Amino acid sequence: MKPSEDDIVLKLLHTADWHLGRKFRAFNEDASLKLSRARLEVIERIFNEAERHQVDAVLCAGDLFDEPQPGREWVDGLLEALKKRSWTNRPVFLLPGNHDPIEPDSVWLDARFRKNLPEGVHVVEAAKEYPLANGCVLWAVPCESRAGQLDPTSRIPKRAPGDERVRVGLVHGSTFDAPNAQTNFPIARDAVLERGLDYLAIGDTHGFRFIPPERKQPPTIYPGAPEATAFDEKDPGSVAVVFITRQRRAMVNQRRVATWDWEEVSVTTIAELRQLATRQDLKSRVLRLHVDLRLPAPELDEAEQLLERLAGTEARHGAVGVLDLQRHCLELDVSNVEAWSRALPSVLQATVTKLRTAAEDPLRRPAAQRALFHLFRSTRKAS
Amino acid sequence: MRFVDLEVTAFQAIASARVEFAPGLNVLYGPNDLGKSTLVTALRAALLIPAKSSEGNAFRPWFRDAIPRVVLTFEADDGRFWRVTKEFGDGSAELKSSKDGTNFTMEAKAREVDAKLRSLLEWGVPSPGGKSGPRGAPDSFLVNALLAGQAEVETILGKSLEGDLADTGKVRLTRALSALAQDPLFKKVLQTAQAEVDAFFTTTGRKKSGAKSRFTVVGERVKALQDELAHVRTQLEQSASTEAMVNELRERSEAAHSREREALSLVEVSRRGVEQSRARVAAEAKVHEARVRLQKIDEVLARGAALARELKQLELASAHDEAAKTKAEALATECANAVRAAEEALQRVSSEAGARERELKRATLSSRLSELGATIARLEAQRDKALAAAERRKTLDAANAEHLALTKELAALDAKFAGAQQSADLAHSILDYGRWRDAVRGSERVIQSRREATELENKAKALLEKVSANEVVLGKAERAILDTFPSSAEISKLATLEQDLKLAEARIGGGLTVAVRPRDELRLHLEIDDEAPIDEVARADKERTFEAERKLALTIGQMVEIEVTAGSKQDRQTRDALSKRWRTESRELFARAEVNSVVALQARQQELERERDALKVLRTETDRLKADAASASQQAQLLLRDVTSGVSAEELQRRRDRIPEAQLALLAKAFESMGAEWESEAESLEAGAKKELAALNESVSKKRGLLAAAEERRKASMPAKDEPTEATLQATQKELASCATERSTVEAALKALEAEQGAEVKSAQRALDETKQKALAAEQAKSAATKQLELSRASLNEKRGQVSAQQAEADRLDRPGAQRAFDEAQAVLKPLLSTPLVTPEQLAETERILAAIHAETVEADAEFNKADGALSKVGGPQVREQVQNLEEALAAARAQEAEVELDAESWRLLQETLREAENAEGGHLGRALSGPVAEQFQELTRGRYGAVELGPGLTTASITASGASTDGTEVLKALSVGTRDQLASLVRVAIARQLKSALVLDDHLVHTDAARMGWFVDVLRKTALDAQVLVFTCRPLDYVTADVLPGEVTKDLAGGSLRLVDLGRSIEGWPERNR
Repeated sequence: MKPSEDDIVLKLLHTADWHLGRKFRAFNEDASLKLSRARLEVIERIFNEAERHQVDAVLCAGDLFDEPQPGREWVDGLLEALKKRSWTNRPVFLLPGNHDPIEPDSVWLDARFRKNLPEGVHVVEAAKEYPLANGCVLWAVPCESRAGQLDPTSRIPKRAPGDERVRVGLVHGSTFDAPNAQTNFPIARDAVLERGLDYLAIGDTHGFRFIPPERKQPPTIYPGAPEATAFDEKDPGSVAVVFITRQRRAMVNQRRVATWDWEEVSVTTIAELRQLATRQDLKSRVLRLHVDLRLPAPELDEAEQLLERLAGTEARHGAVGVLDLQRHCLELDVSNVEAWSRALPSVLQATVTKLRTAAEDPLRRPAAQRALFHLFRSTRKAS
Repeated sequence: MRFVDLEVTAFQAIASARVEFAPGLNVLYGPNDLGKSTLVTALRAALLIPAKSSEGNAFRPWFRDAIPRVVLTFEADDGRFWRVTKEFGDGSAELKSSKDGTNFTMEAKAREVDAKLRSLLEWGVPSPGGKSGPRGAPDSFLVNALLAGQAEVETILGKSLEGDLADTGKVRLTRALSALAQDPLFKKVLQTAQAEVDAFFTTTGRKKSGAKSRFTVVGERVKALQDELAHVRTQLEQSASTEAMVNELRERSEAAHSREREALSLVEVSRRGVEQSRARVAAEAKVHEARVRLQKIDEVLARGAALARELKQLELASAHDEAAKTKAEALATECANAVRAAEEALQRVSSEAGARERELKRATLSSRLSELGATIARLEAQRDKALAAAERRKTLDAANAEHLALTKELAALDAKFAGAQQSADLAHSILDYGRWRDAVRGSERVIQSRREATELENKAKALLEKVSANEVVLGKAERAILDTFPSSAEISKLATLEQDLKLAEARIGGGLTVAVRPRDELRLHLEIDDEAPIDEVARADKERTFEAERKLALTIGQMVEIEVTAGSKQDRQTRDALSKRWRTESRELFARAEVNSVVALQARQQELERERDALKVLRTETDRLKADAASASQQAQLLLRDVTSGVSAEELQRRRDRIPEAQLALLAKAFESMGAEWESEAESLEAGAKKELAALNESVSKKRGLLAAAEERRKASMPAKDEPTEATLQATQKELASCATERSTVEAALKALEAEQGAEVKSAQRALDETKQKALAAEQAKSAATKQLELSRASLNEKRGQVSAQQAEADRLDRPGAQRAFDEAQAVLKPLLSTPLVTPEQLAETERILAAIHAETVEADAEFNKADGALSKVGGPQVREQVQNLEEALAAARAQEAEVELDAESWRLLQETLREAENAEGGHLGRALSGPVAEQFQELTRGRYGAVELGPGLTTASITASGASTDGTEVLKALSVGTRDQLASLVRVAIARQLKSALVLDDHLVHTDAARMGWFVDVLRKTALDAQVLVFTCRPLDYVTADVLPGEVTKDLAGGSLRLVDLGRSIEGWPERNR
């Protein structure tokens, strides 16, 4: 049964893993910068969600920066985003995670950063209880180092007998079902029950997940990164909007805030590539495109043109937002080069024949194929 | 090449002549027999006929004995002027050169002149002299093409470059025609490829390494990422070792905790075991106690029953005695009465009344006798019944005794059975435990094997990666060696060339010493051999001496340049020729090998040999690695195949679940003590216990059968409700005896009464006596009975007291309570029977183990916390993530680098292949030249003739005619003299144009009509824009109109592009008087 507005005693927005300042080294400089900036831009949309749902508090569950001492532009960017909101009754809790643990030289203890934090924004410096709206309480535990074997929830006191308040937990770590989770800030699967919490907000992995996945009550949630950071992440790009009733029942609503969709596509026929090039949603895609094509020269030329259209040039934006092109399986089919070389002058025909012979040598094949294709393009262009 | 001027003296018909040529079209006209062709001959002689040759004799003047002399000045393609002077007959010759055409310096003399000239001209004429040297007037394709005499016009059509004695002509033409051969499309492609190659590579073929180089951009990115990755990997290794330690310590700590939990649970189990053992002992004691009590009670009860039975008998006996006493009293009374009666009878017999009285008495006695008969019969029946009951009671007692004995035996058997059962259970548990332990070991072996297999697989993978890396290295290296590096023959040839050059240099080097003694202070600039120039100020009157090996150039102030050269001219020429060859050949080889000296080349060759050897080793190593990888992989497969028969984890857990937690330590001890033969030992133990159990079971069943039979007998022998007792029997027997006595008394009385008839009185008397005796006996009997009764009563009372005491004891013993207690104790004991006995000593041992494990746990926790603290500073997962990101970035950068490399290689390959194809095409000179010739010939003949086919050596092979049914060779043969002449001229014009070399046409096109001639003049004018044309003609009006014919020797027209030379004014014939 859907609870009435009166039943709800606490509304929260739960986000995590912003990784401000992350560099995307596998991409070129422009793309990397584009993706790094997207991490800052998404904060606006996260805060808009907070306002839209009139939440009582914003919980940011760690790894907000990619490293403990991030570049100044990212720190200032966050401060600016926080300052834009003049919230009086909506505290924001910033929790240090394992990427940005609260260490002596970390941003969290930087005097300039702290001085510029607006009122109502709390940096969780130690395991502590914070009062929330309507007598509810938040127990938050920060990461104090990059790695640790202690379950952070073990520092949250158990619910005392007779304590009927809504209790919310905020920690950063790995539940045991996450890959490689065994060594870093392990969170027990039943921590939410064990500690007598009504909602456990956690951060670390980048996809939106219920722990355990059967969506049992009370819930433990990973909201995931608001913008994805890799192709293999499952369901990133969201925040969790959480309503908790008087009966201490938490309802979780996944809200998408990301701009970018990371997608991996393989094309094995020219038709598939043509089809891909017609897609209208590519602007907002980070696309890893595996091209596995062996084509005759005219089709290869077409494929190259399509790829150029997708990737863009220095003079023109590409159709894809960010393209990671895996093209080492794109090659020229030399079996029928005579078809187009027949019309060429004899000296160029002789060149084609020689290159084709060279292409039979496995060691020289790649260069010979490419040389044949250059020849094809040059003659086509010249004529 | 262009001719500048020609001076002829005493040459055949010409006494003297001097002609200056313009760079364009020169029309040299004059009438027939003026000496035009002689001028052409002189030109040819100057360039080609050695002064000392016999051919020179033919040039002697016809009208005087003079030495024919020719001086020809020409400008070479490089802009240098050359002047050759030959005097035929005396054989003197010299060749001078000049940069400005004014000041000439000597370059060669005598026979060197022709060698030098032929090398300069590159017309396919070999140097004079030597075995291969030409005999007679030198001839070649280009000599024919450019300098054909009047009679030789058409010969060009049949000539071929292949007939030349030297290949210089062909080389020169090939060089010149290669540009012509370039198709526009080919040219564009080549330009594109060249531009790309230039963007990637330096002129020496090296990769560009400047900041803007495409290689640099990607290479630096790869390098930066590699460095960063190496750094982060080092961190990761540190972190990984810490992490591995943390993991190991965590596992150790968890294992310690797990062991502690196990030990704790074992202790708990042992404690419970001890408690249960105690409870079992207590329960067994209770059962025993209850059983003993029950037995005691049963004994008491049995005794009570016996007492009761005795009391009953005593009561019966007492009653009987009472009755006997009453009877005896009655008998006594009766006997007294009988005495009184006998006395009365005696009195009566003595009277009538006495007789009647006897009759009455007889009747009474008879009646009594019958009554007694009936009573005796009843009592006898009653006695038989009582006897049977007594017999049954005996049977019951025997059955009871047997039942009790059987119950005891059964209890003993039960205890034995429980013991045997325990042994069997223990043996079975040992088997379960052993099998579980075996399965665990098996699983461990499987895991170990799997681990080994994985390690082998990983090893195979690593080896294959190495193989792949080696193959890449091999591929690249082999390609580098095979494709680009010069062959040994080429290197050897170059080394020989260098040696020759050095020798040539050495021949020149003779040593020069120049002493400078300035009169005034002077600024000197010196260039000594190939050393760096020297600038210095020489002081006045101070001598400065400079020494040079071969050449010294001295510039003194702004005044004079002095160049002093060592060695003979010929040596220098040889050196120059060698040097030129050296530059050409070495440049290419050095570029290919990326070196700059022969020594370096040879060193590099040796290095490559070594690299080849190393590659061979690498190839062998790669093959070996492949084999190793295959073998490792095979081993892994074998291992995996062998371990597939392991026990599943579920089965393992099921086996573990079958082992009671509490018995684990006990079983482990028993299992360990059995050693290797545990299974057979445990099985035999179990079989023995089972056998014993079976035997016991049989005994128990047998005993139970017996018990049941005893019970049956007991039930059958149980007395009925109104069963006659022993007392009843005794009473009956006594009553029977009493009745028998009474019957004999009554019978005696009857007899006495009958005897009364005869001897009534007597008998009455006798009767009286007898009665008296009887009365006495009765009285005695009465006393005896009374006494007996008193005795019986005493006994009875005593027995009653005993029975009452017994009853009280029995009541006090409370058999149902004891039975309940026994049942309860049994119920308590029964579940405890399956509990193994744990002694307090065993418990103490388990607690000691627990304490030791706890100490281990504390230690493991401490170590783990320490390592964890260390890891928290390093942050393993982030570093791993960083490594992953950097690896991805590096892979992307490498892909990009590979892409750039591939692009560079492919453009270079394209450019090289284009060049190769072009060279191959260029070798076919005819193909290059056919186009322009055919085009012009078609134009000239207004489309009558089509494609002209020139052979590879420029032989005119065929020509097509429009609409002709015959083939091209036939058409060529069938051409008219004029047309052949025109075609030959076009070929020559085309060649001259391509060579940009002067063309001499001596009275050509004599068979050409005016129209075609006009067209031809146009062609020659156009040609003259590229190459100098000297037309020797007797028909100047073919070229100009009459009005422009000069009155002077030369006249330049058309902006200097056309020069008219009136040979009539230039040539001075022999005076008539000299003729």
